[in-house]
Amino acid sequence: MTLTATFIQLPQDTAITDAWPVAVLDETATSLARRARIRWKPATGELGPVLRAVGKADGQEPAFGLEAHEGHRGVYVFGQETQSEEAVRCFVRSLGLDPAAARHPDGSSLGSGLSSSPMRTLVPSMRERILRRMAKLQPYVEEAQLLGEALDAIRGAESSSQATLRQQVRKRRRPASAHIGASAGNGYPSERERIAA
Amino acid sequence: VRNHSIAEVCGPFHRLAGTTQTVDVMRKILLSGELWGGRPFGGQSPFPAVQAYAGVLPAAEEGFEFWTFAVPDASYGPVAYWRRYGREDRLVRTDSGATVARIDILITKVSIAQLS
Repeated sequence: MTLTATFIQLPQDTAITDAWPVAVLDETATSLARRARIRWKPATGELGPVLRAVGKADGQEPAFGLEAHEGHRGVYVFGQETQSEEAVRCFVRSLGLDPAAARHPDGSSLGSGLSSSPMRTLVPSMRERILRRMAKLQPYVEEAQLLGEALDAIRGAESSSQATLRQQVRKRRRPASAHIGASAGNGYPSERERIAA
Repeated sequence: VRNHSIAEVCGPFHRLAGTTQTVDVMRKILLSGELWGGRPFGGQSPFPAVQAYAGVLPAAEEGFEFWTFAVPDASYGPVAYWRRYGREDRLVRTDSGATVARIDILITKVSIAQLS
């Protein structure tokens, strides 16, 4: 069952934290006004005249901004980029639209978010984002692997040098202990030889 | 064999002449080959971004058409956005102290009667 919240229009000066396009709706300002009873306010944007509105899904936070460019199809939803996918989908539903028909600014579908499978809830865009971030992290992973290998090599060298050092120490100690059993090879009889004599 | 570096060119995009794109602003853009942009959504975005309409300049409209090596950060829909976030090479500090985003553009078509 899909829960559909109602669109609540907020004062135009309501702050939209870190406003950035989070979704693009395949609508015009007129069609969306009919669908969700939006009262657009004309404004001057960077490119020319735009229509803006601010609102939220009933009972939900946060607020989102809507912007439509006059004479162009496509309404932008502005919000915090780190906003959860479900919050954006809920807002889109409150406008009477199917989130699956809406798009991320990169063109990928917003997805319906109705699947129960955890893998399926990772909508393509999310997967793409994760893959993109993984690709960005790849050089660091490789660097970490190289560092790990270097560390292993250092540890190996350390342990081998320690082993060599131990051997050297043993070699140096051996002549002293050898006096007990056999001739030290220095011309003097060993302890055992002296006792035998 | 020569080593050629390959760069992807994005476009076409266009900007229309109008209240925000006066002839003076257009002249500056055409002479500099740079496009600037402030904070989107009435200044509520923390990131200045260059904006332009996607697609060719409509035949009946005044403005200019361009291509760019800068890949848009948001390209779906009628508007393309290039923001400065994490891109220090796309930042410009204006005389008034404001920070704006900047991209280099390759202008391919100009249709502004007042400009000539």
